[in-house]
Amino acid sequence: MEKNIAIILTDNICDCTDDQILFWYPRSYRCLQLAHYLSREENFFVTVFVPYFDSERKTHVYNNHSYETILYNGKAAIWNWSLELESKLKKFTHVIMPISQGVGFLNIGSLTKTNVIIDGAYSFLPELPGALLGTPVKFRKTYWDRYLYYYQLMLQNVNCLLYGHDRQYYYYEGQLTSISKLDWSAFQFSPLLKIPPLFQKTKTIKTEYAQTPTKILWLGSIQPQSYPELLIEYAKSHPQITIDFVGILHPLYKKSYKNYFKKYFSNLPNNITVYDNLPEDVTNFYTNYDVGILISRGWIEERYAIRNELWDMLIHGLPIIVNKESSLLLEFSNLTDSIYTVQLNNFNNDMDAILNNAPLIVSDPVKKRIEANILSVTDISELIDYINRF
Amino acid sequence: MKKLAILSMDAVRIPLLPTAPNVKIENGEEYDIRDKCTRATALGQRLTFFADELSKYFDVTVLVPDLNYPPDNAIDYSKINYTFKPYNWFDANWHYSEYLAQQFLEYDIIIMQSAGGVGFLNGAKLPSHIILCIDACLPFPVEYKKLLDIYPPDKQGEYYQMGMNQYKQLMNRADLLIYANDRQRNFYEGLFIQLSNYNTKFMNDMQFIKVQNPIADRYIPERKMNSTYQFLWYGGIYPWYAVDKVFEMVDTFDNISITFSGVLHPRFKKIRDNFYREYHDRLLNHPKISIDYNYYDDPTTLFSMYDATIVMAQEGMENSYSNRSRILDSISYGLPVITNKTNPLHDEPFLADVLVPYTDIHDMDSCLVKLNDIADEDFYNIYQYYTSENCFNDLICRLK
Repeated sequence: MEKNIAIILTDNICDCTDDQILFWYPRSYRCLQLAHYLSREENFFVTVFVPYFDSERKTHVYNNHSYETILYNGKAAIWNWSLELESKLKKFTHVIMPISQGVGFLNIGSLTKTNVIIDGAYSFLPELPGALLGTPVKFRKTYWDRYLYYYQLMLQNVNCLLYGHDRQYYYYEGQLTSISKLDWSAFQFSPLLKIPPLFQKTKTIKTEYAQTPTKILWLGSIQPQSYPELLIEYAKSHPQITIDFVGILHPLYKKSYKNYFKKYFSNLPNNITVYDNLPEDVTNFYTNYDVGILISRGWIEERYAIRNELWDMLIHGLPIIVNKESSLLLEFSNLTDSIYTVQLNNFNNDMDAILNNAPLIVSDPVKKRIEANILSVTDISELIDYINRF
Repeated sequence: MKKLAILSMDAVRIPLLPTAPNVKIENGEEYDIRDKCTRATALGQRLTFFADELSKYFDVTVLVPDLNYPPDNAIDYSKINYTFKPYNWFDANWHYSEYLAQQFLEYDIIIMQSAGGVGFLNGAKLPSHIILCIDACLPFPVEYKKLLDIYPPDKQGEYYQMGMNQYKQLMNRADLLIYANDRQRNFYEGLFIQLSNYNTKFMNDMQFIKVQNPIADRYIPERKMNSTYQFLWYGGIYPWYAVDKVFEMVDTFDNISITFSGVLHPRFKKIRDNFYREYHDRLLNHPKISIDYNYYDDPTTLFSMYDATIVMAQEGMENSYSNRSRILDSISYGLPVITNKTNPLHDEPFLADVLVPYTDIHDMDSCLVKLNDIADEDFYNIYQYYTSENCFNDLICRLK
C-alpha cells in the first residue's frame, strides 16, 4: 500500500552547508537522513517540508534527491497553529517531525487522520530551561507553562515516538505516563521506537595517533549548557597543550554567548585559538588533532543529549573527552579506551590522567561497533516496518 | 543531631518483647499482633533498611499507622537505635491530616514513600524549612491504575485523577527524590520535568539519589541440588505477576516442581480476594505444585530446600521499573532467581551473575544450564558490594 510521508524540518537551514546542518541543526540533519533512507522504499513517497523564516531567503534547493521538497512559512508555525501547514499536511498518511523549539507543535497536536511520528532523539524539555535563560526572569515561568502545555498537546497526539539512545526510552515513558498516555495497561504495545543517530562517514578517517597528545579540539557551538571556561582555565595552567575552539558561534545562541561566555574568550593565553565558524573544508580536519572535547555543565540536558560533534569525531577516528554522564557511554559501554570521561568536580585531575595516558586512540572494537550499528542503513528497518503496518 | 522521620504507609517489622500481647484489638475485633505489627511488605522491609542505617547519623523516628502499632510497652528497643510513633492512618490516607502535620513539625527531614496516598497532601504542604525526601522506589503512576481494578469501574476514573493530582502535588514539593535502579531515574526525570514548575532544579541532577536495597550475607552453603529442580515462589500474588507462566513451566518440564510460599498476606484482603482466588484452585489441584501456608520470620529453612526462586511478572512498565525485594531477599540467602529478562535488576552491578533471564518457555533449557553455572563467588561479590554502608552513603552525605 502506498504511503505518503511528510517529514517536517523545523530549523532555518536555508543557505547552510552540510556540516552546518550536521552540527548546528542536528534535528534537521537526522530528518534529512530519514528522508533519504525512507524514500528508497518502493511504496514510500516522501516529501520534506523546509521552513523559511525570511521571505527573501526562501529559495533553498533540495534537488538530486529521491524525495520532494515543499517550502512552508516556519515563522507562522512557531508556537502557533499554521493554516498553511494544516492544508499542506492533509494529503499525507504519515507525518514525521522532530521535537524542536515550538515549530509545528500545535499543527501536530491537531492532526486527526494522519499517523503522527515524533522524533525525540534531540529532546526539547531538558534544553528549555537553558533556552529560557535569555528571557526576562519575570516571564520565564509564563513561557515555561505555555511551552509545556503546547508540548503536551503535541505529545497527546503522537502515535509513535522515536528516540535515539536507551536512556531516552525510560525518560519518554516517564513523560508519557505523566500525561496519562501510558499506564500499566499499555504493556502490550509501546509507542516508543529506537532509531539510533544516523551518520555517514564522509571525511578522512584518522588512523595515526600521537604518543604525546597535546592538540585538543573543541568542536561545536557554545550553548547555555556548555562549560568552555573550565577548559580555558585548565589550558592556562598547562602551556604544553594547545586548544582550538572551532565553530563556537551558533546563530541561535549568539545572545547567551555575548551575555555570558564572551568574557571568558577575551585575554586568552597563547595556547588557545578561537574560530567562530566551522571550517569550510573539513576533509582531513580531525587528523590535525589528538583528541576532541565537549564539556557541559552537568544539567539534566547532558543526560539526554546527542551531540553530533562528538559522534562525528568518534566516527572519524578522533578519540573524545566527555562528561561522565554523557549518553555516549551508554551506546559504547565499557569502551573507555576511546571515550574518556571527566567529572566536573575533579576536572583538572581527570584531564591530567587522560592526557598522560597516551596514545589516545579510537579502538578497533569501537570502530567495529560503529560500522555495525551506527552506520548501517538497516537501523531504520523498524521504522519502515511500522509505517508499512500502520 | 538532625531529627529525621520516616513515614510508613503500612506495617514495618516492629520488634516485639516476649511479653507483648498476642492480639491487637481493632474496632472490637481481635487480630494476631504479629500479623498486624510485624509482617512487613517489601516497602516496609525497605523502610527498615533506611531506619537501621540512617539512625547511625540522625535521630530517627519511624511513623507507623496506628492500625499497625502495638502498645508502647510491647516494643523491644534493645537492638535498634530509633523509635516508633503511631499516626492516625485513616486521617492521613488521601487526606490532609492536621495531626500528622503537627507531628511533621518536630523534624528537620521527612522521608516518605510515594507508594499510596498516605501523607501525600501533608508532604505537599510541608513547610519549606523541612527537607522532604520522596523514596520513589515504587513507581506509583505505573501501578496505581491497575490497583484500582478492585473498585467499581465507574469510580476508577475519578479515583485515578484524584490520586494523580495528589501525587503531582507531592512530587512538586519534593526536595530530593530517591530511586532504586537506573531506569527509574530516567523515568522520573521524564515524569518530573513535565509535572513541575519551571525552576533551576531541572537543570542539574542534585535532587536525585540512588539507594538500592542492601543485600545481607545470609548465604546457605549447602543447598539441595538434584536432577529434578524444585523451585520456590516466594511472596504474594499481585495483579502484575504472571502465574500462568509458572503453570506452563511445570506442565512442559517433567523435572520441575514448584512450591508457593507466602502467597496469602495477612493483610490486603481486597487484593487477595480479587486476584489470588483466581489461582487458588488451580494451584491446589496441580500435581507438581504445592502451597506452603507457613509464615517464616526467618526463612533460612525455607530457602535451603529449593534450587532457585521463580519471579515471573507480566511484561510491561511495572516489570520494567520494579525493584523486586523478593528477588533481593532470595539472593541474600544464596538462591539464584529465574525472572523476566526485562527486569531492571539485570542491569545492576553483579546481580546479573545470579539472575537467570527468562523470556518464554523456550528459554528454560538454557536457564537450567545457567543455574548450574552460578558459583558461590557470584554471591559473595554481591554481598560485598551491596552493604548497607555502600547503599546509603550518597544519601547520608547529602542529608548531612
